[in-house]
Amino acid sequence: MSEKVPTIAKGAQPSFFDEPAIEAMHGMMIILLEQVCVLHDRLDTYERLGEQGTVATAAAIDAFEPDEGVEEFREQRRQRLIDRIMRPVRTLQETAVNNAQSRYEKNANEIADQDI
Amino acid sequence: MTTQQIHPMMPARNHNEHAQASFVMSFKDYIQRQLDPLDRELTEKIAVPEFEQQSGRAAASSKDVRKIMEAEPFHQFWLSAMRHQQDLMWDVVAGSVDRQLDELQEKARAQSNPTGSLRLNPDLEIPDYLTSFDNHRMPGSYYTEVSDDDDLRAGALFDGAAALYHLNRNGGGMNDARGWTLLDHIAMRFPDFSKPKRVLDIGSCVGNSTHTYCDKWPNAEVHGIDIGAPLIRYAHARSESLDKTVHYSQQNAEQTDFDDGYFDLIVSTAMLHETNKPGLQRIFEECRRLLRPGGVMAHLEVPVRYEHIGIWPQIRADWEAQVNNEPFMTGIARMDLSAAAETAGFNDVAAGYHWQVPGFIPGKKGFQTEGDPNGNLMMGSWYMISGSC
Repeated sequence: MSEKVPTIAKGAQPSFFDEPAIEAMHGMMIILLEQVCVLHDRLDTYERLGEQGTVATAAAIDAFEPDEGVEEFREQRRQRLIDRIMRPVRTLQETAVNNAQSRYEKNANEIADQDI
Repeated sequence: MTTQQIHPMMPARNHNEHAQASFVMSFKDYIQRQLDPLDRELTEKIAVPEFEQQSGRAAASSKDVRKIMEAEPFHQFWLSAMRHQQDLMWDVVAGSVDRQLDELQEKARAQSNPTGSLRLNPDLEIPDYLTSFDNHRMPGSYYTEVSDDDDLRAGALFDGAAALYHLNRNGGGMNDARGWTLLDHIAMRFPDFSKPKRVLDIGSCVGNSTHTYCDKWPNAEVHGIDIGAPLIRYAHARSESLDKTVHYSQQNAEQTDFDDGYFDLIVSTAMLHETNKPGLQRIFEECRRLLRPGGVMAHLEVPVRYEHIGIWPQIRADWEAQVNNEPFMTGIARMDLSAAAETAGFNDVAAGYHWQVPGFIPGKKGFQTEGDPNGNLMMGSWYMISGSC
């Protein structure tokens, strides 16, 4: 392949976190999650071929056509895994929303106590 | 191959590429269904009240709450997850395209007796608004060539990603619902307009929408223009492989080489937001020059209007502008497009939402000028600007 093949989009390369390394780690984590899902699907194909009595060669795996039921099974499994991985992230939101009242009070106290 | 190829030029996916593409869609779907509502709740329960407490006035726009939101750890993850999902999509499709690029180019070269045509212009100057950054984070954008050998990589990359980006809701693998929606809109808005002899699709990209005009008017001479050579090489090969006759040329829509009054109809789908304000005005003026008396111009855009949407949908749209390299998205969403069309000399101008055809939201069809009563994005519709000469 030519060295000219672009792999990074020109433009915004933002870091949304206080520590830029977290941005990079988050990107790495998502790619690893993608690869776990790929391995899950490949293993599932392997098992389904086995049930048919087909040897799971690379060619047989590529030739396997998942039907709607297989796609739906895999989709549900992916959604459950993504949801588990994201649970700590969702917890950040829950904690923030649950602490809303004390934040207002803290802000109100700061405003009330400010030097005039 | 794991997935049925929807047309001969579409990059095929082997087992693992299909699994990767499935993950890309699952993750995007998860963000939309699970994380977006949480981010919205955070905006409404934390950021808006906090802004109001600090400033003593109501929050009027996403700008007011941006700093508060950007300090929230959950929102940081939301912004980042959206960004990495988009980057992953291009990465996954690029891996698949590069594996088979030689085969795709060979397939294009082997086509014989084309009914359409391809006209390239190596000297075309690509406008700054497309060279300063790669739109929607597509590495290399529409114009970067990776070989001197009839390169069509950018087109294959775009086509391979289009249905993933839209979660298959924009006409599936053909990605043509915007074309059908535009045709529905034209029929409704201009009932006396029929059977154009010549149609121009500006920013025709890989021809996803362009083919719907061929299908609607089989006797019309259909043209497509875009700025990227690899994009329209692919579009040409794709059209020929599907027996659609389209005349592609590499041109800037602000200034084309067609004669005055050459076209009966000029259309575009989701391209205006990838220009800028003066560019958009020049494009409307060029459309006016190219249309015959009685001709029609109709453009389809993303359904984002800041006067109609609440603060969180604005945050969502801001992400497109600031992170997804679509900076004019927030500008066009605040611009008076009717005034721009009237300034360019169009009559009978109207702007508003047209529900997608074929739709994915039950019961929603036709045209309306008002936005969602609850300030939500008008998902399932497209924003139209049209007029006649």
